[in-house]
Amino acid sequence: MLEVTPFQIVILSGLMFFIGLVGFIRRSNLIVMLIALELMFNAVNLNFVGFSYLLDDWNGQMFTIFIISIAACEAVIGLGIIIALYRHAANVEVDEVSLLRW
Amino acid sequence: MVNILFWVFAVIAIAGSVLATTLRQPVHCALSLVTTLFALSVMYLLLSAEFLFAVQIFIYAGGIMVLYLFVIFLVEPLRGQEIATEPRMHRLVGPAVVLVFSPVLIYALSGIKIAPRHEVKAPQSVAPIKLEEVLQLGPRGASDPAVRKAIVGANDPSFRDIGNTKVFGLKLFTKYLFPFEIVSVVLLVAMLGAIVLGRKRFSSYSEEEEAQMLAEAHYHTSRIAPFSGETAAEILAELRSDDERQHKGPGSDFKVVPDYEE
Repeated sequence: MLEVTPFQIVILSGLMFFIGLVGFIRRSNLIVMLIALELMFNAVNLNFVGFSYLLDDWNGQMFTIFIISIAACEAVIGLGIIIALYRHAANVEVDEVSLLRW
Repeated sequence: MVNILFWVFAVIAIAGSVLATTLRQPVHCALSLVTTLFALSVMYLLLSAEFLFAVQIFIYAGGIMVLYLFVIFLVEPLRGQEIATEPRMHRLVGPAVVLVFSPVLIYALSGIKIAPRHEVKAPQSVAPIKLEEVLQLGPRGASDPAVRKAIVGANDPSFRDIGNTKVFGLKLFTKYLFPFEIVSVVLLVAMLGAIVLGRKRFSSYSEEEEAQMLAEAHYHTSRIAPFSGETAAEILAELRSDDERQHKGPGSDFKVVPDYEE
C-alpha cells in the first residue's frame, strides 16, 4: 500500500505543471509549445489520480479519462493547424509568423 | 518498496518533463515526453488506477505522441531553428522569480489536510456478488485483493473479474454516461476539424475549374472596363506563380496601369 501525502502529490503535479508552463512561454517552436501543453495536461491528471487514491473516490479517475480524450482532440486540431500554417508560411516559429496578413 | 518505486518514477517523470521543454530538437522533446508519460503511467498503477495505467500507454504514449512525431517529420527540418535573442540577464529573470517564490508556495501548500480514507470499504455480502455492492467500492477497494476475497471466495471464477477496470467500466456506463456521450461527440467534431484543416485546396473546385471561372468573370466585366483579355491558361499560370509572391514580400507584383487610352 503506497503511503503518499497530499502535499507530495500537489508538489509533484505543481512542479510538472510549472515546468510545462515555463516551456510553453519560453519556446517559440509551435510543436514544442504543444508538447509543453500536453505536459500541463498530464500534471493535472497526476493530481486527479493522486487525490482519487487518497480520498478513495472515483471522480478523480473519471475526470482523468475525460481529460485524456479531450487532450487527444485538442492535439489533433493543434497539429492540423500547424500543418496548415506550415503550408502557408514554411515556418512554425511563432516569432517568425507573427504578421497576420502574410 | 512501493514507496521507493513511486519516487523513482516521479524523478524520471520530472527529469523527462524538464528535458521535454529544454532540448533543442523537437524530436528529442517528443521522446522525452514519451518517457514522462510512461513514468506517469507507472505512477498511476501504484496509485490504484490500473485502467488509467493501460489507457495512458495506449492512447497518450502510443497514439497522441506518435501523431506528434508524424507531424514533426512532416513539418520540421532536421536542425533546430530557435536562437535566443534576449540578453542573458533577461533570461535569468524567470528562474530567479521561481527561486524566490517557490518557498512561499511550498509553505502555503504544506498545510493541506484531508481525511484520507485508509480503511478500504469492504462490502457486506458474500458470493454471489450484488451489483450495488460492487458499485460502492472505491478505486482503492476495487484493486485490493483482500476486498475481492471478502466478496467472493478465492476459488470463485469471478474473483478475477472484480478489479479497478471492471468497476471503472460499470461507473463509466452508469453514473458518468452523459459525459461519455458528450466526449464521443467532441471526438467526432475533432475528426471533422482535422479533415478540413488537412486539405490542400480550400475550395471544392480544381485549379483548372477555378481558372475557367475567373476567365469567364473577366470576360463579363470587360463590358464595363477594359482588361487584358487573359485566357484561362494565362490566369492559371498567374495563380500558380502567386506562391512565389509571398516570399518576395507584399507589393512585389504591383504594376502601374494607366486608366486612359494612349
